[in-house]
Amino acid sequence: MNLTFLNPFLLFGLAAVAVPILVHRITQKKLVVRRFSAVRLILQSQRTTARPQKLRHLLLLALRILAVAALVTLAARPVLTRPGLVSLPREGARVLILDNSLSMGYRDGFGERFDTAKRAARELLNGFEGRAALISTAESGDGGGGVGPLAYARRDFAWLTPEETLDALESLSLTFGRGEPGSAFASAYREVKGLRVPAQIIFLSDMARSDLEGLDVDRLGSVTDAEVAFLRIGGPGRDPNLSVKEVTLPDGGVVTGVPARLEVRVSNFSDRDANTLVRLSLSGVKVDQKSIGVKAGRDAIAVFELVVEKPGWTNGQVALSGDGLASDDVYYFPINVWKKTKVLVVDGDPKMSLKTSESFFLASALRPSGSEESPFLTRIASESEAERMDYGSYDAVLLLNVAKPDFTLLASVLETGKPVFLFVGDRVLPDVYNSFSLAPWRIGELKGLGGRSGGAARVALSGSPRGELPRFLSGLENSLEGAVVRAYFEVTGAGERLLSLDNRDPLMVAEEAGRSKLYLFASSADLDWNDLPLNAAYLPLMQRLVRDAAGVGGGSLPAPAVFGRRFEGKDFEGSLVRQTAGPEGGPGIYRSLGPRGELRRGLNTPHEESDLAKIGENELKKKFGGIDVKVTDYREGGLKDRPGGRKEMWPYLLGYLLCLLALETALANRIFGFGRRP
Amino acid sequence: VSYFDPKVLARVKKLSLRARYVVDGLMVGVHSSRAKGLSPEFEEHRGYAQGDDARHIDWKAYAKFDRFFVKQYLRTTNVRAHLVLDSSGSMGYASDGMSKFDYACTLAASLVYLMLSQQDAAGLIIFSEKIDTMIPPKTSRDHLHAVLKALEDARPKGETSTASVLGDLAATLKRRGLVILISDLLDEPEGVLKGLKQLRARGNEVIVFHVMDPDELVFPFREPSLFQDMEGDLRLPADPQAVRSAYLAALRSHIEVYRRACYSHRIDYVSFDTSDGLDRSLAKYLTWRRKLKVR
Repeated sequence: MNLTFLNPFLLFGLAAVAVPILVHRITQKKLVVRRFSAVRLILQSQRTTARPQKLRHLLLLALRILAVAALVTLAARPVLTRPGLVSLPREGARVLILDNSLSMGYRDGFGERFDTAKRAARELLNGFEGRAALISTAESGDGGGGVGPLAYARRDFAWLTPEETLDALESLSLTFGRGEPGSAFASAYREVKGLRVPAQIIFLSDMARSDLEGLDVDRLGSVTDAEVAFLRIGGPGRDPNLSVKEVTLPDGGVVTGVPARLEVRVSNFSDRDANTLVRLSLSGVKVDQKSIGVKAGRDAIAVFELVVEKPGWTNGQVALSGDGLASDDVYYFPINVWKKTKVLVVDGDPKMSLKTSESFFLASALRPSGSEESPFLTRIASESEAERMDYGSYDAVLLLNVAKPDFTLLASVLETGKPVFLFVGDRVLPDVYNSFSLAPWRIGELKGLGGRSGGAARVALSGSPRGELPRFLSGLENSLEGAVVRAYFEVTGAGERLLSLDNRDPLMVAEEAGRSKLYLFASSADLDWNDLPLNAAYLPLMQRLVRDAAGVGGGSLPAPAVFGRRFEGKDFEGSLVRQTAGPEGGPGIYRSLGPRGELRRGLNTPHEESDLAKIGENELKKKFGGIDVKVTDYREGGLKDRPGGRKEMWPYLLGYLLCLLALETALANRIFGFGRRP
Repeated sequence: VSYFDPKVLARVKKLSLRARYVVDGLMVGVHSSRAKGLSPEFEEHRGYAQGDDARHIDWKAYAKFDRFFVKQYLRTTNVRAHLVLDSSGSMGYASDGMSKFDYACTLAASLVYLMLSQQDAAGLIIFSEKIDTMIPPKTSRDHLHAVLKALEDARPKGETSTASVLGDLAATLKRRGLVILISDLLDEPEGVLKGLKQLRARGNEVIVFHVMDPDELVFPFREPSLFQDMEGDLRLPADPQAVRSAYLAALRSHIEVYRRACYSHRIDYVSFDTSDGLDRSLAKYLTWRRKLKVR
């Protein structure tokens, strides 16, 4: 039996027990000083009378304190609850809230918890003759279609016969998302309020903390007349579980034939260390697996090397070796594999020695070590060779120190959506370059070595706040700012300034031209005018710049979506979404065809739902505050044997109070010999 | 006007006058002592015992009974009385005009007046913790003034030590006589009774006048009080209504102890309160004198 109070805040009134004590002290009479002869006889008589009198006074005081305490307790409405589940009357109204969130898919020795919960619900409906209702904490179709958050939204509710409720129970299925007990309770409260029959709200759940932690009882309103019970499926302890937290590509994109690093972060939601096998599959074919150990409550990372030969979208998934909750063991992710970027480098100052050629450092940056694993296919041509080549077959064209570029050809390249990069040098004449009609800027005099006005300058990243830097510059700030530019052409006019010098002169500018972008680097591409090619940031700078400009600079791994939440971003808005991988309607890979072509997103189970820690009984009772709630562990077939119940204590307490008052009256007035003097 | 009424007597300031008022009208006469010996008045015969003077053999009785009898005569003598007056602090309690000590002084003065008028020798001992004043018994009329002066000068003060005083008195008295103790007896009964027994053991006749105030007998107080002892520093908070019955029971027990002990040792015990007429005490004395004469 547990004693709870419906108005516990009134128990603060227990401080009023001090009132009788104060009254006793205040009303003590002042003594009259009296000289008397036979004081020894009084002393002798007091030895026999003082104790009973003192006892009487103490008894009176105790009775008055008890009476005040009883009155306050009566106002707080004490209720005696039996530790069983509920009183299970045959009549009345009974609302069953069934947790069908992901965590209920956990399997223990008694099978899947959702099935166990269903069996418990059947037990609760067996023999019941009143009206019943069944509410699930999560809607079955909350998944891939983009249904928004359901928190405290109105749920469908209907009073059914017990038989109809059993039918509804059979059609209820487990979901892959989080439960929303708040909306379920809110619906139940709304319907139960005002009923003239005894009502019960019984929540059948594994009591996973992730679902119940955010429950805000204050938003539910007040239903003190209904009996609220929690039937816990599974134990109170935290169930061990591992799940994939995220999959990342640290290098950004995946290019055909180029090895890419794929990291899988696995979380261990248990109190013990665990080992698991992480299997990687691409397009439904297992390609690799790793065994990792994960410390209790920590994450561990499994690293895979990924090589995809075919460009375009590839469906990937990682799966962990089985544990109690299988639904969260598979993580889906689509990869957008880019083909290699074809780059034409026109060297305006080729030399017999490769290292002294204008294009040496740039070509090395795009194809480091000459490896085939580079994401770029680079073709280096002299000015005369380039005149005979088809620029249209390349994704980007770079002109290095070219004296007489074919601007008509370049304009056609820009019209086809391919970017053009112009690197100047000693062979460049400003007037020639200024005649290019698509270039909005004007190239002025040469500054520094070889020019009329000397002096070196340092790269200063446009003087913009670092947070506003272009994406291709991120992480390169420190290295770039150490680079020294000894000579450069002064550039004036329009154009987006991408790199600047510390004297505020532009080093690199860009401008939309045709359907693409025209870039101008105001210094040489080799070491003649600057030491940028020797800078650590040079390789990533050039690679990112060219790939971004060629439209292949985006990441290969779209941000994943979480089951039960609307897809973020505008990717899938207004387009038809279809599932291409994963269980139907559940987590998997979803694709859509939009104006920018095909898009894919991975949809996975909510990571926090994988944490099977349970909310404590005391914490739950604290949440419900004034509402008397019971938490009982479900045992198969045990509900009938453990009827619980709630009993109002006020009639007994009132009787007790009246007895106290009667006793106090008798003792105070010495009725029936109570406290009579000896 | 009754001159035995303490309220009336309280108005009479002079003790000698009070005594005269009280004693006036009472019987006076010569009373015999218990000492038996040679006297012109025959009292009884007794068997001859070796050592008896042959002159006292009643030869007529011998002729009649053929046995020796010795004639005994009643010796006529005056009473030698000691009035032992308690002057401890508790005797100063007065609920209505006359304190216990005033009452006791008047009583003592009246008795001395009466005794002297009957040719008895009367002495006075005033004590509290010890004997404060001791006037040996005398029969002269001038002696009355000395006694009255001692009584007028005495004031109730200090603690009681009746037991030691009575013990000392028993040891001091060389001749047997009458000892009249006038006290409120608010002392340990065992000690007081021990002293009384010692006096009795030495052949003295003892009368105890237990003087009490009506407040002591009824305990009429109602308000919770801090009772302050008149003989010491004892201060006792008490609710009179709560302790009254227990107090009266203790008082009854206290009196009963004295009464029983006195009875068993042939001591005359008379208790009365200060609202009683003084004639009761004098009558008691005269009754005793009469009994003495009958013997």
